[in-house]
Amino acid sequence: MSVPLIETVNLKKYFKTGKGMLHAVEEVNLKIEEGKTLGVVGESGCGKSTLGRTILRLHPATSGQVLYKGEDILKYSKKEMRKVNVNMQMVFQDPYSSLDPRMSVRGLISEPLETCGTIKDKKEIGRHVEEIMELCGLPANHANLYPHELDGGLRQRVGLARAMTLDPKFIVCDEPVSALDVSIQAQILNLLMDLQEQKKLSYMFITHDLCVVKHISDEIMVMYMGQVVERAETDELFAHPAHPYTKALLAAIPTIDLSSRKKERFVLTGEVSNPINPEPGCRFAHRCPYATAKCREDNAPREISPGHFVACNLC
Amino acid sequence: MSLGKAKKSLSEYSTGELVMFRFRKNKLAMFGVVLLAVIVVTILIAPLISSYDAVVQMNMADRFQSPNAKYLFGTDEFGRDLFARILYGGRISMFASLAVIGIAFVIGAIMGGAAGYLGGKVDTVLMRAVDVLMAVPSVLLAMAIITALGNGVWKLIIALAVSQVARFARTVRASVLTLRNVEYVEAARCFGASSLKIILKHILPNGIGPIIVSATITLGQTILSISSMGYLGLGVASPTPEWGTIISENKMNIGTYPYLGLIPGICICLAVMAVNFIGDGLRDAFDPKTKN
Repeated sequence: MSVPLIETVNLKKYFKTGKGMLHAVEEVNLKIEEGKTLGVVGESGCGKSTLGRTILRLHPATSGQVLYKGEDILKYSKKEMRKVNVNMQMVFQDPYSSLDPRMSVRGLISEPLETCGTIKDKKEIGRHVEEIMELCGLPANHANLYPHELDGGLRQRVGLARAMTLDPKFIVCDEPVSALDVSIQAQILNLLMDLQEQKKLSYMFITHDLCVVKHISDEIMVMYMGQVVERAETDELFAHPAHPYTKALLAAIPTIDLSSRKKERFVLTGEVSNPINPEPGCRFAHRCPYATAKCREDNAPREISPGHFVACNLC
Repeated sequence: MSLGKAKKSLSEYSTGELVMFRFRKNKLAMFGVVLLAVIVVTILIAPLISSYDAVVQMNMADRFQSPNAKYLFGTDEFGRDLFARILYGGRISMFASLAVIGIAFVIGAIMGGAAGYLGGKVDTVLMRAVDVLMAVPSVLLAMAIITALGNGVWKLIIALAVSQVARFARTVRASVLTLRNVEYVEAARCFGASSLKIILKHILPNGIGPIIVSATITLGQTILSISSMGYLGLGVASPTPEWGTIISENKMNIGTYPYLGLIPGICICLAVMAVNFIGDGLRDAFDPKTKN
């Protein structure tokens, strides 16, 4: 197999807090091939956004590597990073706060071009902006509007258009649809998938919505308190969830099938424990009905079938 | 519907033009501009209206003349022309205030900007310094500095500027702090924008509102401070005219001849009011969310 577009090796991100180290991202290993989508799911505060931001170097990593086409970009200087930045972009969750309220749609979309200086000629920039707007389904007469004059869906299209202007290879989508209503969600998801097909984009799709992630991802990674508990191809994960946490997550998807409602669901008890200075071993152990003493020592990921990794001793 | 209408007329303007457009539509702000322009122009062309001799020339025959055709604003106890004194006094009041705000703004913006953007130890050190300045009431601080430096216009300016730095540093830091981690700033970092560019393009335009309002309100206050310093005898010393000094030197006679206090007082009020109107207008104009 060729070199994956994005790869992380034992990536860690800790935050220093008053009470100790907050382990936000713990030893994450992932691979994203060109043109593929990795869905990252997990509950709020499990470190999925931090992971995305650390990969883009918006947060400095504590240790580990982020490989872009096989090269460790964490070692890059600011200048070298600027060249890689062109290929790695981000779409944010909140289409309200991710757009500068004082810039017009045209200004927002052309800003990356002006910053990177890839295109100098003003007319050329204008033409490129029009192209991108059309690509992202933005009417051309919206170019002079300000973000507060647009609705959520259009705003998110502007956010996407801004990420697309530099013609990136990889986009971190940080819950890009969770602030939108369902009909608009579908539009944006379809747009993302169309763009992927046309431009051979790779996505890292961060979400807590399992239906969305099933729809868009090739591979899914489940995170719990900074640890990757399970990683597998989408169909495999939904068909054979191995980790107890994944099982609980999947059991929580609402269903319209009345007959399945009578079945007993796998319901979790307890609360997420404190991520500051956590105990070694499986973070899920104290909520897991199957946990043994060994779980509290070690939970190194194992490959239980080709491409299906689980960080659990019992599966 | 209204969107479609606005689009046509808006499309030809740049952001700067739009700010001016919105500002011009604000009647109160335009009134402020006209008022300030009248004051400033009158002060600037003072030598054409009256020679500086009239400011200090005593004319004992014409003591305590109420405003009349010869003496527009009347005369004081030494028979000096109050109109000329106010005209030349305004030069000191207005331009010293501008200088104070200019100095305080630049130093405060650099301090607050650095503290807010860099955070960590820089923030702690700078903000504790600001706290020390804040702990002393600004008038008291200015008085202490003047006492140490001695009288004089420039010393007064420095004293007042130092006493206002803390306020600017705080305002700027607060703006920068709220904007530093906003998602659009992160987005800009994503495509490799430098810190300077982020500050100039995103943080400054979005944070400028409160800073401008703070600057204009402080400008108004500074006009007052300079006058109060003059009144207390710590600023510009008589016989050099300054609005506060004029009130101060006439304080014994205001009861009998109220115009001696009223006229310079009204001048101070008008100047402060004009500046405040402009400040409010600018704040609204910078915000694209206000109706076009």
